[in-house]
Amino acid sequence: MSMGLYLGRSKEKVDYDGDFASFPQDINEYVFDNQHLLPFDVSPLLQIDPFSDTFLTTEQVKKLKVTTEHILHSPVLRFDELNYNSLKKVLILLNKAIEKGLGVLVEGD
Amino acid sequence: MTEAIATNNWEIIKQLGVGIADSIYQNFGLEAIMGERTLDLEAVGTVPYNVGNLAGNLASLVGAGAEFIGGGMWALGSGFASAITAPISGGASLALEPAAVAVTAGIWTHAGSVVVNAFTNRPSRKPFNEQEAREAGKKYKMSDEYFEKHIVKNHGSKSTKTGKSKFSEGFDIKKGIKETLIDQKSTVTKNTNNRPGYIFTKDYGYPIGVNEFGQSVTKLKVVIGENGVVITAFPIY
Repeated sequence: MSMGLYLGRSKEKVDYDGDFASFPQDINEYVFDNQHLLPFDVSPLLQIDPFSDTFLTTEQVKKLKVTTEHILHSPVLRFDELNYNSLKKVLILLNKAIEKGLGVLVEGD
Repeated sequence: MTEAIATNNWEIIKQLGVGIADSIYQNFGLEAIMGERTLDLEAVGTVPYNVGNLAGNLASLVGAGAEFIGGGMWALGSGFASAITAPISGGASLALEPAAVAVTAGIWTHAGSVVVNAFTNRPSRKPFNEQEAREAGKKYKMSDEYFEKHIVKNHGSKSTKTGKSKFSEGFDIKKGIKETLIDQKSTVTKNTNNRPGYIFTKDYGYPIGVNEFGQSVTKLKVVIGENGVVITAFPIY
């Protein structure tokens, strides 16, 4: 359930050679399993099908960014360094997409 | 909610409304008549939707209470009316009393089922049926083309795809998929977030690949559609 994230203008115009981040499988599964325990909206993440490709518009990217920030700073969730760094890269990529007015292709497993 | 109204956040208000409507629809038994449905599938699972679901369940309890009272009033009213009109109807109106009681019993039965539904309602669309899932697993379908273009390309030992888990070189992926889908010891769950399909996981107990960070993993996860078509397969922790 790790999901690869690429910047793009549309599903057809994705920059596969540019910035890349991977939403960690562990975190995705943990959030899914414990969604009712988390005191913030996780739907922007859960609405992404982890097994197929989904293109997020800039507006959807903004919502995913808020969820990602909550996960990253949640006192409930604890990650090892690999997952933590991976999630930080996701946040950097989402911010870049918002700054440039781009979308993000989420490539499922 | 106040903030959502103040900031004109209609998305949250809509999700809340869908949650309320969906739970009332389910609790009052309309699914049995009109089928399983939601006003907006995208709203399902969101926090406002779940809050709306709870509000809908509470509203259903109030509705059920009204049904209990209404049913009682109907029985009392009908009994009284048939009794006082008995002298005029020559006692014939008394024969209507059992029918009135039956109507009341019907109303109370429905109210009871609404109460049970309101207490047991959960924000999920379709109950998971493990036997159905395992039957779909046994009849799985996977084309060679899809196997190569999706599974081997992304998760094969020679795949250069970044951020994906990879199978070990000697591991027979096709055989692994078959074993995972037919082995009764494999765990099976519904697909994520109420999407159609099932997820099968088999623990081999020895490394069969590496995760996206290059760490050894021992489990194989296979995702299939409700019709048994393989959607994906990859090694995990």
